[in-house]
Amino acid sequence: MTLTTRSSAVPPAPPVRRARRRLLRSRRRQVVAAVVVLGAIGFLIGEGLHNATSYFLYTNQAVAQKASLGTKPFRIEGTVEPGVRRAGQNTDFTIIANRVAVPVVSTGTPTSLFKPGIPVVLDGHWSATGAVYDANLIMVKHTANYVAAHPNRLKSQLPTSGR
Amino acid sequence: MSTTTAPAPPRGTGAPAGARRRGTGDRTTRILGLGALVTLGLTAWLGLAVTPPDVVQGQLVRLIYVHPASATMCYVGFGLCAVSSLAWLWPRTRSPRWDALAGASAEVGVVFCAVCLVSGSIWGRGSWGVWWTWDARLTLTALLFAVFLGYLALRRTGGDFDSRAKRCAITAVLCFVVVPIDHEATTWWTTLHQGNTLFRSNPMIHGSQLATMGLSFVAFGLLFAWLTVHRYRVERLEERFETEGFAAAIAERRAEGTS
Repeated sequence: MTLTTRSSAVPPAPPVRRARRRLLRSRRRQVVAAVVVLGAIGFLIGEGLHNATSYFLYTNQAVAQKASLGTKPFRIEGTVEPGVRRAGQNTDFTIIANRVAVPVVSTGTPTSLFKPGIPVVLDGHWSATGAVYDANLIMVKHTANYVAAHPNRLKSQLPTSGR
Repeated sequence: MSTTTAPAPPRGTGAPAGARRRGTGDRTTRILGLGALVTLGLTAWLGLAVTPPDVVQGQLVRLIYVHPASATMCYVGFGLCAVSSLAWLWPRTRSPRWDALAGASAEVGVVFCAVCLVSGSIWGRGSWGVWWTWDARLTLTALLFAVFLGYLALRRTGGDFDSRAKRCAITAVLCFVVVPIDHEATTWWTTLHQGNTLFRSNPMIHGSQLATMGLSFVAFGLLFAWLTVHRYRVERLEERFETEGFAAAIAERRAEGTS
């Protein structure tokens, strides 16, 4: 007669406590994952709703709301007028939209696409006196219009030795 | 766990009755794959070597042959997912195939959404001067990416097939609501992102640029179809594996009991 127990011959079933702990751990992971995903979605919706309705103000709107805006940060949109001046770190220029011009002093470095005639969105605020807009970021807002560059058009205007 | 509603072994993988398919390819996928490869190559050649730069944006314009097409395929993927989910929810057309197609198209849509976000970010850095900004279009596209990632995570949760599929179908239809809002964001609100260039009465791009942009839509469309068909078949094979795996386990237990 064998005296060994059945459990030594048959592999033991996983203890109930261990299984429950594993279940709790996986549930905890699911809850943490759900909280992270919901938190991320909430953040995105919050940011979106905050910015979506008015990402920027046109110059005429910014001028009309100057008193209420004070020196609070906001974005402004307008087309760069000719006469961009660079003084040290600063870039001074004027933007115009809906026939209202706003002088700008910018400390931000513009991209290579920045030039007169291009619409820009600026991040900044009215100066303390309200005379100029202090910009710390220049974003070039290109339009949906695409025009192919024609190198020949430029070449024809250059002086050539043959002529 | 309900076993009565588990999906039947799939027949949509194109395998003849009784035969076992190796892989998920067939004549259709080979044609789609070859078409995608040729049109993608042609788009790359025209986009990088033939078409001229833009007057304002210079060489940056070449991203127009990737970014809008990937955004459109992302919308198509999420749209197909929503339509398949509705087909699954409607009792007359309910079939595990719709659930598999919803999952496959959402997964491919998420891939194209990621391509759209990355290419858009690169374009934004070059033209706007920033990698990212929280304007309506960008925020909603990021939200779209997040909610469909959540949908894919939901598909991996447990439970019986029917309740899991129902949960996912309702979620997909709700997630799809973001798509038209995202598409119209540049019209409804002031955004840094540009408006519509192509799908309007007077397209604002012409000549070889317009032709190459149109070709990019064909190329990305073929790539989308190729990826979706393969992913759908993998999904059906997974279902078959689960069903047959369960049946094999039952048979094994029965054999143990009789021995």
